[in-house]
Amino acid sequence: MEDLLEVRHLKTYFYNNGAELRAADDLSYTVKKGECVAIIGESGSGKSVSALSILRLIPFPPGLIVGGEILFQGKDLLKLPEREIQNIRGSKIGMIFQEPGTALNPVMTIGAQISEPLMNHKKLSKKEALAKAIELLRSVDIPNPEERVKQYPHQFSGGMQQRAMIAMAMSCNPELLIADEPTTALDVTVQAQVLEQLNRLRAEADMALIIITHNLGIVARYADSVKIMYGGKIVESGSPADIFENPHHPYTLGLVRAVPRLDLPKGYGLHTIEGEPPDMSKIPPGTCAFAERCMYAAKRCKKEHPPLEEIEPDHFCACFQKNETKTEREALV
Amino acid sequence: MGKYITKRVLLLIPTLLIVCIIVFTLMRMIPGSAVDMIVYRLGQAGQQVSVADVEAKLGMDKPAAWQFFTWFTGILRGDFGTSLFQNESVLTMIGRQLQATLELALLTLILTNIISIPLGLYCAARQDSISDYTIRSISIILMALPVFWIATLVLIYPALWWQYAPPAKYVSFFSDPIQNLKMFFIPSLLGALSQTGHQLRTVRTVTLETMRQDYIRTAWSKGVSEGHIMFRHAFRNAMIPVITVIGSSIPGLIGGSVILENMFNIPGIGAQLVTSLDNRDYPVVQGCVLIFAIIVMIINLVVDISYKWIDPRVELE
Amino acid sequence: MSEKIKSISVELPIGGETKEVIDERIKKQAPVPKELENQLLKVDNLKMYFPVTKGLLARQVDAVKAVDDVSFAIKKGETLGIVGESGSGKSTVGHCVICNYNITGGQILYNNKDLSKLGKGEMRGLRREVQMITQDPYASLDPRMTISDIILEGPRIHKTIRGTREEQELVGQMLELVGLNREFKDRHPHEFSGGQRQRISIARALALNPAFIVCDEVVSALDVSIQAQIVGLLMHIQEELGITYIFIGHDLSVVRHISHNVAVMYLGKIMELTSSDTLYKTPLHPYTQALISAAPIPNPTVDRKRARILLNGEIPSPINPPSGCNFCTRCQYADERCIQAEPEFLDVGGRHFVACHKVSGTNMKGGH
Repeated sequence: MEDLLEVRHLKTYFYNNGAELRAADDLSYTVKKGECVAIIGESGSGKSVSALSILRLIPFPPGLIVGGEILFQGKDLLKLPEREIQNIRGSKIGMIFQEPGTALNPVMTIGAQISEPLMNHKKLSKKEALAKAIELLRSVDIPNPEERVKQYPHQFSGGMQQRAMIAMAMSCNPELLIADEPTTALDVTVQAQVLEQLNRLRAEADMALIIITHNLGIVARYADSVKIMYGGKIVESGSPADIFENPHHPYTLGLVRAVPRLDLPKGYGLHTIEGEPPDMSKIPPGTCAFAERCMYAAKRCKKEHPPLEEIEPDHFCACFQKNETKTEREALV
Repeated sequence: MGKYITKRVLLLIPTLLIVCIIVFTLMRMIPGSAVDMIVYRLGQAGQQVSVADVEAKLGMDKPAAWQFFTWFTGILRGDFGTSLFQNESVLTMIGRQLQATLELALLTLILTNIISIPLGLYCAARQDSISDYTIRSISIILMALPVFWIATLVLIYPALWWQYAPPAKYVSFFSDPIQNLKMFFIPSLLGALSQTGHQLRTVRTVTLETMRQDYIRTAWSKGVSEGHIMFRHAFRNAMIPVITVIGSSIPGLIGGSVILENMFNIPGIGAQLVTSLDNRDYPVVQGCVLIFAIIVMIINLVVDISYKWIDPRVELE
Repeated sequence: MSEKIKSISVELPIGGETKEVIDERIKKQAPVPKELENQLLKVDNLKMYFPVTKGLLARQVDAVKAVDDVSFAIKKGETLGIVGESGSGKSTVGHCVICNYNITGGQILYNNKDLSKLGKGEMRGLRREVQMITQDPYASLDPRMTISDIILEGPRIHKTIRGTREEQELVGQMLELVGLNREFKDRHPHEFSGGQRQRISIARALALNPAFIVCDEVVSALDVSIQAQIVGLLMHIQEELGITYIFIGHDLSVVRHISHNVAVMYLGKIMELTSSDTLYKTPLHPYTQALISAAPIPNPTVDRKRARILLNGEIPSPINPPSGCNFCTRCQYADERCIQAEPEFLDVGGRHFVACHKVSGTNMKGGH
């Protein structure tokens, strides 16, 4: 499988009152055709920023992509002129967002919003686009699409709004869909419906998917490849089996142990990681951002930043102390 | 929607009643013996009348409730009473003056929006650029400078330099549009400039806020161009608060044009109101205030209806 | 080791017993007196309907049946978890229990006292003993007050402590109890992160030495690693101080961890209520099974082998709940009976309560 998207040394910084916030700090990863990549992180990890950077949706001020390359089908997205990137947005790369209630324009009908990229990119007429919009709504299991297409977002429930957004983002058959916390604002059973649908559509269209989330369960279920972010950098990356059953980075270990498990007895899980997620404007460059919370931290961790190394085929970890975590790792169920 | 409009129009009547009661009561509360004042003024104007005559004419010898009742029912029939000084029907007097004021207000409104909305949108699109700062600074200056001072300059200097003065005699728009506009253009422009300062900033702020909304980001992610984002996505949402501002500025335009009317010799309702108040010409004053209140109520209704038209989320009962 | 969640064959009576044996057992369920002593809270048939009004005169045209006939009991020092999605009424139950609303029907007994019949003085006492912590760590603390003031607000109003020295001591103790530095007392909320603010909320609740705390989605807005911290803290406090909790949440795994018993709510009614172990080992109600299936397990090997139960349709509006069983519109097992008759909330053995025709195996309403 060839690489569809290659992010190389992406640096997206935010500037606030003279402070520099390195939201995405020398980020590199790849997405293959048809692959589902999950990017996990907590708040302040920079995960959303890394996704928004791909489509150059970083608001300026205060944010700016200061360095790196994002190669999509061979072309560097960061160097394209505005008009060309507009051609890619919505047609070759689509995106869906976290709160479907606010991500849809309240004064436009759903039909108009879904038709827009179709008329823009595929040059369909208004009538043709509306017909396609109805079909799209049907494909995401929205009942009565002929009526629904004339309605406004506030007349849809949360789950339906998110499905409408999926329909809209996929309308031009993109090669890549970026989903930024797509189900965080939804109820549990609705989450399951929406994710199943997304997965099904993805498989049918052979579309690559980047899911940004903090829900490890979703990742375990759907992802082909996982990247864990902390403090603007990827600290570990690999297959779900690598991450959940054989994690090397202390943060990954802590995270996996912190999530409570329904299938295990009560005593297991909810293991705490001391401290708080970092304030990104205060991490001194050239150190490991996790060092102050890490129970394995050595002197070296506060002086140098650990590089991302391949410890097993396709399993990378950025930690000087990764061998120390063996005991904890083997105690994992 | 039709039901809503009918309901609101019908609701105007009780509102009208309450407004009339307030106007009536307030008028009667003006200090000093109003009748004596009337007798005095009429005497000065060359008409000799006695207190009893005036009282009879005003119906002030009858109980207040009766006075109110006759006046109110008169209003419903379209009869606002007769002026104490001009021997003309109040409605005719106001009608004549109102036309001029409404025209001034309308022109000011149009000019304000033609200037402030595109410029406001432009400033929002080019936030913090040099043109943004320049335009905003100019709008602050416009807000700070008093209209009458600029008007004075506008009247004096062209007269000095080019021997130019705007026409001094009022001609209705329908009889001679060019002459009419010659008279109205400069005062409307001045009024517009003072309003623009405030409105431009509002448009800019509101647009900026709208542009920060999540759905705008979604539109960007679909590859919509900047122009379409501004006009198809942001504009309608941003206009909701702007309409409120416009709606609330209209009463000010109508009532506050006194200064400009005075300086440019426009026979408007502002001037009329002041003269009649001075004369204690009750019926005319009541009529003016009432018409003013009615205009405000109608404007409110129009603004509310336009909300529903623009924003489908609004639930009107 | 890991138990796979099986969806049981619901047509068979439980444990292979016959209908007659089950009926007999159900008839024999009388409240056991000695349990009452240890019961801190008993809620019977709680109903909370919010009127929907229309028109200028606010005529009531309909009602949102936020809580519709809910019953449960909690022993001292234990935690009842309430799980549900939007519209389930779980938060409303919490608010009713601490008397934020005038309930529409039913009875709440706290320490064997009927809460609707409390006098003013007793109500004040109740407000000291029963506290609530809510979800949003950013909205629940007054940004203009110092941490010290926030913690002391309750004690000052209820006059439980006097004098600056006692106040300082209390603030210090509370901060220590929740794992925060004593020096933080003079700072303001905006200087703290979400997790720290929740700790401050907990400290504020503890300052009045309550016996009972309602935790309404207290960890839902927090990161995973911080969630673990806060839940751990709450459990530690329960061990140390013997406080009773109602823990309301939508994340099954978290709720199960902290709770002794769990109630699953849907559209204002409890669908299933039992000990947390039983709920996850043998969930009987189809909704519970769907919820469990919907919650992915963070282990790919385990999770990808599980059976998936996907519900059709959307959660109905609580203004117009379906006739019969609330869940029938989305349930894969629903039949005629389910659409017509509401199932009773019954103990099907071992204090495991379920409201489902298919599970109780008998047609309680309209059958006899």
